Amino acid sequence: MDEGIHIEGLSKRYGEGDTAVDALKEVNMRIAPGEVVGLVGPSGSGKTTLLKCLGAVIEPTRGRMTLGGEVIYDSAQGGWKTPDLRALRRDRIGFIFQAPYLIPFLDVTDNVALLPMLAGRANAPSRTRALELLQALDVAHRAGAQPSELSGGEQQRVSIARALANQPPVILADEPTAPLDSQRALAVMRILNQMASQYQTAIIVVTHDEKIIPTFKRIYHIRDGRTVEEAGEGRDIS
Amino acid sequence: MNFSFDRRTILITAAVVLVAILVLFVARSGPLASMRVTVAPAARADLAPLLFGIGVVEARRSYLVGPTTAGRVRHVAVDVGEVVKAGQLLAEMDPVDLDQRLAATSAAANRAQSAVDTAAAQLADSVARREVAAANARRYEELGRKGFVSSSVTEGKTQEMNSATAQFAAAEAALAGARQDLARLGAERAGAQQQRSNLRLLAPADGVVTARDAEPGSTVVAGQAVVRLVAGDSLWLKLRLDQNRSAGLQVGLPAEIVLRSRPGQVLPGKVARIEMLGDSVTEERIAQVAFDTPPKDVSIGEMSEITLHPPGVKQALAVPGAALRLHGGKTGVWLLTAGKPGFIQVKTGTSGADGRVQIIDGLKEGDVVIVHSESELAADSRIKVVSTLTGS
Amino acid sequence: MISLAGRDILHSWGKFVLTGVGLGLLIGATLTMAGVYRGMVDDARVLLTNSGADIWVVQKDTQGPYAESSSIRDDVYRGLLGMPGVAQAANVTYLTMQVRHGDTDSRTMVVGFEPGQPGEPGYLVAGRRLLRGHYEAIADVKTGFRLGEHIRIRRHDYEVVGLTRRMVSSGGDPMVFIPLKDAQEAQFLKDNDAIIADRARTAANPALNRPGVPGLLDAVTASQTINHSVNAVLVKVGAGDTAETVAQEIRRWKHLQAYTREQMEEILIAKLIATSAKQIGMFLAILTIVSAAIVAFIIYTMTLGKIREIAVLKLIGTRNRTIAGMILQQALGLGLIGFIVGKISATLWAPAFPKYVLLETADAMRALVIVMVVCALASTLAIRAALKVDPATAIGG
Repeated sequence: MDEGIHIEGLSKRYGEGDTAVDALKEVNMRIAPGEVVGLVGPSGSGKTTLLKCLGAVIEPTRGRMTLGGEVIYDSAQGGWKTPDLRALRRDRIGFIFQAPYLIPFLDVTDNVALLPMLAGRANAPSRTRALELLQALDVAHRAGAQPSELSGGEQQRVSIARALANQPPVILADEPTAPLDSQRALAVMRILNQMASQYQTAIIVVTHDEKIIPTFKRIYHIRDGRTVEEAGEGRDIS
Repeated sequence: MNFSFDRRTILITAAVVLVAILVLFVARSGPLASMRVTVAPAARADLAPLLFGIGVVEARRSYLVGPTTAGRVRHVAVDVGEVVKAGQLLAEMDPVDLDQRLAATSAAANRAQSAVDTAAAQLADSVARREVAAANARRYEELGRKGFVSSSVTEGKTQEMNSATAQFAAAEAALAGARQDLARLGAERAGAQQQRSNLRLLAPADGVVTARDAEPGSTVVAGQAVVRLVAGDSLWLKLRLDQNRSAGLQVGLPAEIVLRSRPGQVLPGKVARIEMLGDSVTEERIAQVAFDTPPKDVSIGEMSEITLHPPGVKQALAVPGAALRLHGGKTGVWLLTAGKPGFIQVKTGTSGADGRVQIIDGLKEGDVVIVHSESELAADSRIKVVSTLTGS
Repeated sequence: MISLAGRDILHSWGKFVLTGVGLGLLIGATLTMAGVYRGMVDDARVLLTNSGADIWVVQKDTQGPYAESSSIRDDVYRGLLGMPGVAQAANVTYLTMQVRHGDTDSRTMVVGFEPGQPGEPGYLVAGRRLLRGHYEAIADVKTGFRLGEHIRIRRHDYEVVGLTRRMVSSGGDPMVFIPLKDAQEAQFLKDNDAIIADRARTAANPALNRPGVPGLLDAVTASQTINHSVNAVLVKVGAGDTAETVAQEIRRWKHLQAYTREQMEEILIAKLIATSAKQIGMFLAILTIVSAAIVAFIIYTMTLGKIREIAVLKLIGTRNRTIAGMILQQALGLGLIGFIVGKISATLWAPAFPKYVLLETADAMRALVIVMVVCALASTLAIRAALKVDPATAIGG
């Protein structure tokens, strides 16, 4: 079985008949655990649609997706394997957004601990887990702070911790460095790489940020719904 | 972390305080709140009761002076407020033709007197005539018996004598008649004079004129007053006392009189008389109160407040009157025992001027009773004793 | 699991508390309005209780003495005392008038009563009962008079010797108690000018002022100024008789109207204050709707402000139930704060009202339930909006 992410023949069509738009056309991807892959493309190329399909937010039209060795979607076998997509997202996918999107009314620890709690784990172990992650991401000293009191970089690191909270096999990062200067952007990439190898998570970074593109070892270019795989520079940023 | 913890603590404290305030309010103003009361012990005290009533200044003697017959007022000699002496002319009625009638009777009387005089003169004349005739008759009878004259002459002389005698009797009778006529006319004249003097209205006693009810020219009927008089030294007060608050009323009781015109001044007086007849409609007893020294310038009809002080009781067991309550149709007090109120029926006696009421039966000295309360008491009332219920 | 609603409230507690206080003041106004109605009913009840009577005997075919005017002869009570079942009967007069106190005058009900009989105030908060038969008064503390002050009623000054409280007319006017005879006089006494004018009118009437009949005019004038009327007779029924049977006897044989306590309550509460009650009921309904709308809008706005957070929450796997629960709990929390603030504020400002405001605990509990239900209903609007949020909006733009 394939660990990490495996996408075969994934297509997505919006609309019907004459107005139908094919956003994704037979996309194939394969990302190994511990690998950080870039997904690069201009606006309207279909990269957000791909991300939404992968994030189990919208349903693809055709194809097959495997996350962490389990098929989650197969159009040949009736679509989603589980009706409870929220549980799926909660347990198997970590999200990192363009902005940190931390829950403003929860402190840093609880922002991270919320996921294990939603998954039904008790408060104390959830918080222990969160603190471990915060430690690993070097923001443990702000564990009791409110998100609004954090700097942008700290917030992004907390959001990375949150994405890791339920130890998902996959993390989807949507333009995680867009608002950051190059130094901070590179720092984020460094963390993502570090986390990917540390927790054996497959990470897809959707971006068109020229500052970080050179850091990927492997890049999927997406254009008009089709992906092209190519090797990246794989610049060392550690 | 510390900040978050602190804020949570503050907020929880605030919430607790808010709820505490709510609970406090519910306990203090809701049905769970306890009723505030004031208490007083039953204690021995001298009770001086008082009777209070309204008095009106009246004159003990007042006179309505008016004519005995209908007539027109000719002249009123006095005005309201004048002090008059007994016998002083107050007013005069118009005599109309009374003076002329008086003159006529006087003239008639005078004429009657003349008639009497005439009759007396005639009588004297007739006496003289009779004596001459008698002497003539005697002489001619002698002469006749001796035969000097004829018997016819003698008889003639005798007849003359008899005639003179009869004339005397007639003159005598005329005189008596004239005299009676004179007496009659004299009486008539006196009557007219009396009538004339009745038209003069005189003061029957010393006093003050209080009203001048008729003016010259107006006609009054018999008995209607032209002038009203009161005896100035006889002012007293007619006191009306509620029947159910008149116990102890007796003659000689000292009274404090406050006239409406001078509210600050207490005038001493005494109960002078208690009327046998009360007023059944107003349910009042009536007594007369006399001033010890009548004040000057007091007006009749003036209202006054009169306070009497009947003899009190010494060292009686008493409680404030406000402690007496009607509960279940019985009069009693709420006795405070071990912080709980309990109703006890009592028998009351005299009330003092300070509002204390004598307790004849039902309490013993030192028993604490509830005097004032915020609302009607019940056996299960939760109470709180305070010194006063109002700000003042 | 942590409480998302609680955390949100803790986070934006300032906004939340201010909103809650605002809502609380509105709820306080609503509670006060209910209290005003209860106060009116209670005013009517204490009026009946304080008069201490079982039966009110009034003029035939009237609903006196509170709802209509009633006038009966003051010797009627003697006849009533002779009837079986009547333990006590006492005359009473009621006269509503303006009484001056200092520079202001206030509306009061002057009650003429006989000491020791029904109609006397049952309890005092200060001072003593009437001792003299005239010119003493017991005043309700709401009149503002203090012991030793003088009340001028018509021509006479009455010294305040006692104070009582919660003695009000059905209209909520505080009462002043004076001896019956004074009250009878005050009720029908005209001012001096009117008396003089009346006398002149009588004197000008040739039928009443005959020249040949001295004293007739005086007698006529005197008879015009005497008043032997009272407004009602309060009857206390002896043990062993029911008020209704005694009242029936009075109605049948005395040609007077007699009301029992229940009938009086019916007259006072159902008839006298019926319109006011409906008025207040309308107001209460509107206030409830306004409160509900405000809660709904507030919660809705608060939810709309959190749309992105809700989308993120949904995306990372939060269940609808959790989100709906969060909004519902917030609405209920808002309602609770509002209720507490409302209850406290109503309790605080109720005594300042000129008329009695009675805040009943049962009403408060009812209000709490209504507030909670209204808040729950109001939150459905926000919950619907939150559930419609698409988690996909958190991704991309």
